[in-house]
This record gives sequence, C-alpha cells and structure tokens, in this order.
Amino acid sequence: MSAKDFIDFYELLGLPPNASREDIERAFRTLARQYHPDLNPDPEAQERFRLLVQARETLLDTKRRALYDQQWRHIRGRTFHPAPDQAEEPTIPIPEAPEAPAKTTTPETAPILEQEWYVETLYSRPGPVENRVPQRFYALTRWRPPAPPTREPDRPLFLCLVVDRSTSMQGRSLQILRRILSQVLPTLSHQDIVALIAFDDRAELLVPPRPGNAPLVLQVLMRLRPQGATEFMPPLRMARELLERRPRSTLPWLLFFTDGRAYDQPVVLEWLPTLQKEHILIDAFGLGTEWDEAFLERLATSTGGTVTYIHAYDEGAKALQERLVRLRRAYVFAAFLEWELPPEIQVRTIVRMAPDIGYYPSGHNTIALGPLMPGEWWQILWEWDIVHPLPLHHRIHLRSTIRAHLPDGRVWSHTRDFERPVVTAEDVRSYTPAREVIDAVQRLSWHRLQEKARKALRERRPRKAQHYLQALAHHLTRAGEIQMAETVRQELNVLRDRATLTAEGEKRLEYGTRRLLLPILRRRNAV
Amino acid sequence: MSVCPHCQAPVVEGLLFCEECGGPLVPVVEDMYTTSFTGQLSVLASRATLTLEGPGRWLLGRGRGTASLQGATFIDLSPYGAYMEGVSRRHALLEISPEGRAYLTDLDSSNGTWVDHIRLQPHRPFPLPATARIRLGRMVLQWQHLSP
Repeated sequence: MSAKDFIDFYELLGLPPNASREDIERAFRTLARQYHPDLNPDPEAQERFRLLVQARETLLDTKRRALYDQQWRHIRGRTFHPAPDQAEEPTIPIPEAPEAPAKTTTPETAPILEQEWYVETLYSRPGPVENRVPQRFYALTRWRPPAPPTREPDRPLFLCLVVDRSTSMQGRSLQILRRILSQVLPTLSHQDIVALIAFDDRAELLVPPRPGNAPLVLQVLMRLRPQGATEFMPPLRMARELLERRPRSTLPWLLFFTDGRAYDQPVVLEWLPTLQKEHILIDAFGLGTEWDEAFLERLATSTGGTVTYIHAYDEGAKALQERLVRLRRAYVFAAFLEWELPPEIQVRTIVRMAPDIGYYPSGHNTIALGPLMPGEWWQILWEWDIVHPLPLHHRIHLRSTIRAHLPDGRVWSHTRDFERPVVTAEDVRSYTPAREVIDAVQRLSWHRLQEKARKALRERRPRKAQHYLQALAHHLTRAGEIQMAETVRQELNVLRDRATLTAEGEKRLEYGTRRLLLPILRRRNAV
Repeated sequence: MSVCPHCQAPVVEGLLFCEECGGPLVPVVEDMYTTSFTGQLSVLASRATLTLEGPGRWLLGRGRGTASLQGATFIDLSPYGAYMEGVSRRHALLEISPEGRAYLTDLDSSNGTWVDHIRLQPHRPFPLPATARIRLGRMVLQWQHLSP
C-alpha cells in the first residue's frame, strides 16, 4: 500500500498509536455520534463514519491491529510527533561521566558519594578545643546504603504478636490493645503471616502463623481473658522459635505488648544477643504506667526497634500502621553500627533520630540500627566527652563501620573514618554549628530537662524539679511546640499541688519529649 | 565561656545548651521554627524565574494533569520545551524542609538529574547548595537561595 492510499486510523480517531482498547472504544463512540448517518446528513460525514467503523474493527482485533501497526510504522513512523502530554520523552544519550569536575565544598558539610553509600556528617565545632577538659563535642551523622537496583515489590510480613494476658491487663490496657489491633490487623494482606502468643507466667501459642490469618488473630484477641502472673522469657523464646521457621523472604517482626514488669527481665537481657544475631526486629509497646522503661528500651534498641508508650488507643494505631507500611518496603532488614574511639573520647549519649527513635544505652560500641525503606536514612546524634587534654596539632580519629543485612542474606558493609583537628579557643569563639546540629542538640536538651526534673523528684527536691519543668515549658513554647509545652504545664500544676508527679505524667514527659526528636513531617503520625 | 549567660550556672566547654536552664549557648536564630526560606528557580534558556517560599515540596515535570505527587505543587516545564529537552513527566522533587534546607530528589527520570555536574541517584534527596546549576535531562535550571 502506498503512503497516499494509507489511512491513518489513529489520526482519524485522534489517538496516539499506543492507545488502549478502552481509548479506541471511547474515541469511536464519541466520533460515531458526530458522524452517524442518522444524525448527520452530510455526505462527507457518511464517508467518515465508514472509515471510523473500519478503524474500530481493525484496531480492536489483535491480529489485524498488529499487521496494521507494522504498516503504520513503516509509512508514518519517521514523521510521528506524539502529543507531548501522552508521550514518553525521547531518551537523550547523555555521557555517564560528568562534564566538569564536581565543585568542592568544605569537608564538614559536603555529602560524600563514595562507593554508592551516602554519608554525611555535621559537627558542633570544626574540632575539639585544645587543652580543655572536660569538653563536649557533638556529631550528627547520616548514613544510607546503596539503593536497591530495581524497585522491589512490597514484602509480605511475618508478625509475631506477643501479648501480655496477666491479670493486670484486665480492663483498660486490654481494651486499648484490642482497639489498636482492630484498626491495624484488617489492613494486613492475605500474604502477611501473623502469629499470636499470649503469656502470663507461661506462654501459649493461640494462633499459629499462617498467611492471611490476621482476621483470626483479631477474633482470638477479642475473646482473651486476663489471668496469672508475668514472665517474659517463655513467650520470647516461643516467638523466636516461630520466627526461625519463617519464609526467608519475610521480615521477622516481633511486637511485644505489656503493661508491667517481670522478675525474669535480667534473664531476657542476657539472652538478647541471640535475638540480635537472628536479626529479629522487636518493637515494644508499653500499656499503662507500670511497665519498666529501661527494660523495654533495651529490648527494642538492641534489635533496632522502637518503644511506644500507649495511653490512648488512637495514637498507637497510627504509629503501628505507619510502621507496617515502612516495613513492607524495607530493603535492609537489620543493620549494625560499630565504632572504635581513641582513648581521649568517650560516648556520653548516642541517639537514633531517623527513621525512628532509639535511645541506646551507653557502654557498648555496637548498636542495632533497624530496617530501612528506600528513601530513608539512619540519622545518629553523638554526644562525646573529651576526657584527656588535647594538644594543638593533634587530630582525633574515629572509625565506624555499618553492616547492612539484606533480605537475601547479603551484607553491605561500609567503613568511614572521621577525623577532626584540634583547634584553638579563638577558632571557635564565634563559630555557629549547622542548623541541623543545633536543632538536634536542642531537642536532646529538652529530653534532658525532664529527665533532670524526674531525677530531682526521686531525690525529694520538688522545687528543683519545678525549676527544670518550668524551663522546659518556656523553651518548648518559644520553639513553637505548643502541645508538648501544654503537657509540661499540666504536669507542673500537678507537681505544685502534690509535690509529686503521677506515674502517667512521668511517662508523658519521657515519651512526649522523645517524640520531638523525630523530623517534623514524620512526627504527625508517630506516637 | 564558662558560665551560662542566662542562669549563671557553670557550663562545660563545647555545650550548645545549658544543662540547668536549657538556654542556648550558641546563636540560635529566633525564627528557626518559622518558615521563611525563599529560593529562586530559573530556566536558563528562557530566563523564566520562579520564586519558591518554603517549607514545601514542588514536583518538577511536564504535562499538566498527567503528573502529580501528594503534598507537592506541580511545576510544569512544558512551556519551556520540556518534552524535547528530555524532561520526564515526574522528573524531580524539590523540597524545602522546615529546618530551612533545600533538597532535590530525582524521581527515577528517564534522562537523569544533575546538580553541579553530579548525577543524582534516583530517590536520594540531595542537599542543594546556596547556588546550584540543576539539569533535568537537557534542561538547565539555576537554583539560588535568596533568604534568610
């Protein structure tokens, strides 16, 4: 067929050549109404209508369309200008190598794109000041491993719910737990596997793990009757056995719900390295006010998880839902950061600020960072004590290594050396650190103030406690954190009236100020 | 300094906030939590200029109505020849954070995104310096931080 005899059906229908069948149908119907002989007496319209029918018949038949498209490409292809709105932009061959050398910026703030890891460090000062002891030094580090080569589909989850059913859970705690899970469990898919372990002084597997059994788990939870004392080891051991046998591609996630303490907590803490080695992620949820903060903190942070204080059901549900979404897309299941410090430096505090919060106990030189979704990074705030006086031409060297464990068993490892010169007092006199460092340390200081207030109370110094809380309320207000400032003022009133804080008040102060460490956008949904 | 200027408590060298009263020991911008970050994006070839006030998110792409991203204002570059310059429908995301930092993220575009000759990895927010030359495919934009 020659080019001039060729009828462009796509042009006739006003469609691009990659139009779908629906598009073709729709276009035909619209145009048919215009040109149908019964509706349009114009003889040209009749001819047009005939062609429209022919176009539709050809293009809706797979074989005929394939043949037609071949002809079309041959005759029309070179002159085709697709409607830019619909078309893919032309792929422009662009050389891989940069056209000019990258601009250098001061080493302190330039992100280093070495070996595909994204690592960025910001410091409170260009370096520690000579010969001053004691001295504080802050560093804010961001780490992100190489992105996965292809966008991977969401992963099915393997959730092991470990739920306290001891007598104390009766009433409000169990009610809150049920409400949270009744909001979250229905969002699980038929591929997600859920197991339910209930414990008092024994552990019982109420619902064995099976894909798509989230609705069953919810039913069983609704019928649960609290009874008995509390031991943590049996359910955790049982959970670990279940998680060991999970399908390898699922992320092992243990959700631990309790409202109290158990005498075997020290045994659990000793056993934690086992869970760590198996990369089991533990998120701990404390219901009510009697649970042991230090213990749940250790339980969660040793695996890179997070502790959530639940005192109102709606907060817990949002946080859990958000976490579910993140974990499905996680491309790193577990990661560990370890470091070597010179003798002149001691780590005073180490806090994970992103993607979620973790307060690590001091005294170790390895921490678990937790899973990562594409687009996220780990952000760590370090607070160091300089404990030996440093001479001027000295340099402090630190080495840290992250090991990121991927679902398929590979480990990506990245070592980064930090180095800072020792500087003079003059060098730092008018130095202002980067905004992010100031912001992070400020949030840490808020958390510290309420810690000091509570400590003062334990030492029976309510006036001192008031002083700290007052300062905290003042700074929160100035920073625009109105809600938390209000919470602090409420507790301040309680303190003034009763010279003590309620147990709930203490938890609200602790976890409320912790929450403020999260970046603002994430904080809206988190507890 | 060895005492806090607000409460006179002794302070350790290197502290950024007093541990007794929480007062800042380094200059803290008063409006750190108010949003007054302004940046300017110019299309070099056409001299068109957009002023962006943060915090916020802007999706750079082409084709009205075919591209969107939740929470982001769409900037349609097709009037500037985006299609022939190889700009994808959802090419890159420019974000200004509440803390006052600007980031550019390539959204896995067909022809790539460059900042000052560094090619961005897809989905990795890249902090923008105060002045930067951004390239989306073949289209060159100039980024300039105006204030604060």
